[in-house]
Amino acid sequence: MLASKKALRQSLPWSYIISTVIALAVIATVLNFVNFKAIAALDFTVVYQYRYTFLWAIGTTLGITSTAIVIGLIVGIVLAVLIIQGPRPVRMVVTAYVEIWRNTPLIVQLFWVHFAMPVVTGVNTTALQSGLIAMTMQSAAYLTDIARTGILAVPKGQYEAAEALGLPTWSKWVDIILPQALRIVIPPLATIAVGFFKASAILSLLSVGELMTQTKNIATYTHKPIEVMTFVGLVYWALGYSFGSLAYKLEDILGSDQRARR
Amino acid sequence: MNSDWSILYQYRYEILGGLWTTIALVGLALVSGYIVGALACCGKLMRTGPLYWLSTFYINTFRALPETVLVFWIYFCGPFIFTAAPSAWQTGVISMSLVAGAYFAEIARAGIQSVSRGQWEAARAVGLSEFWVWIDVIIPQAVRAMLPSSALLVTQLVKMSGLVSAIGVTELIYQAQTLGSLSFRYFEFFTAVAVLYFILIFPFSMASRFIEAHMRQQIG
Repeated sequence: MLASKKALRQSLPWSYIISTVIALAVIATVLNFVNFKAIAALDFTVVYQYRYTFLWAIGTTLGITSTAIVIGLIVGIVLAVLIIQGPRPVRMVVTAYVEIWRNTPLIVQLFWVHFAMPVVTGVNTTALQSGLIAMTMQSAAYLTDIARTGILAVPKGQYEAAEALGLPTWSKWVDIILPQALRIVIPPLATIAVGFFKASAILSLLSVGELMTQTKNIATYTHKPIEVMTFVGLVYWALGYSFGSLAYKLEDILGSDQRARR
Repeated sequence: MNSDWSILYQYRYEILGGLWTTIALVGLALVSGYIVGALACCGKLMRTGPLYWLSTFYINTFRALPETVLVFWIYFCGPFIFTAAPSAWQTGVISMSLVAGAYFAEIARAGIQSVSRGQWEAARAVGLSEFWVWIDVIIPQAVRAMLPSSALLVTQLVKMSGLVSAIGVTELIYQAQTLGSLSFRYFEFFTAVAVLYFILIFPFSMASRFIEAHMRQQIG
């Protein structure tokens, strides 16, 4: 990387001139389309006016996301152990479940759970229940795969040591293997959690009542879509970004801890 | 539970039309995303200067924003803030291209940075000019390293394309909803659409996994 940077600097100041021109051209093109009168007339007090609705909606979004991740993680760990240790038919069923839920969009799953599943089960679910079911089932599929890689990354010696000590199977998994596997999967788990936080906005297509649903409602009711949606975009960005940095921190701490122990 | 699958055959042209719209959306977004992403990647590699700041801002913004917010923002706020009012179809293409570009810029940057330093030095030592170092040595290796994540980007875009049904682009999910509410056969239509999406997405995620495993074998 250093080499390319130096090369770009040395060989062509041209590249800097061209890049500056390109950047200015892009900015100018965008500004050319901007209607400045509309921007001058923006009125962000609407955000303050509906602050409690927003707070409640943010709470709902976080609640839905964390429920999906926590239940998904538990189910995912069980499914991962089944994939690794279960009999062949069980393994095939679990793999099929994981592949189907990972390779279809969340929107289709959401609508399928809401509109098609009642035909099969005969039980009607509310929008919130459908959203939770779809998110949890998808996160379980993703986390199965992550938990599997984590479990497989635990060195073989740990299994052998647990067996040599004569630990029962339950204790072997819960006390020895899973804690180490969880530590390995924390970075991808955090990425998935941020992804699901972003994806929860999709639930607004069913009017589940989370942040994006309320945003659409407020924007329609007050006729101030720009203020409301820009604010909500910033909220999503800030929350997602801070989760992401937190995950990096966590990865750093745990990573150095592991390196020290080795 | 009684299901009537012949209804799918009855409405086959609507479903196929939706499928075609989805594919066209993803294809257009991929092509323009590659162009925008390559430019943003160049900016990111400069490490300073206006193009670097612009592309960093662009990449960070569009990777962190939920796609739903982006689609609604462009569709509902665009006509007020900009002098141009994009149609639903244009909104879909623009928002998907912007997202694809942001993700592709990061993929390309990671690919170029994964080429080891010795390759740069060796290429220069042989006396290649800067242009041919890029064309003959760096880019071929970078593209190979980019393949798995590029395939995943396609799956991600196919998944995102369903979102634009919310603003009325007649792609697969929109068709399934409309036909479902028309005939009250939600189960058949949504199952069919789910299968179609699976057929679209699964080859790409399999390809990504195979390429990755193959490359790991070659290295290890």
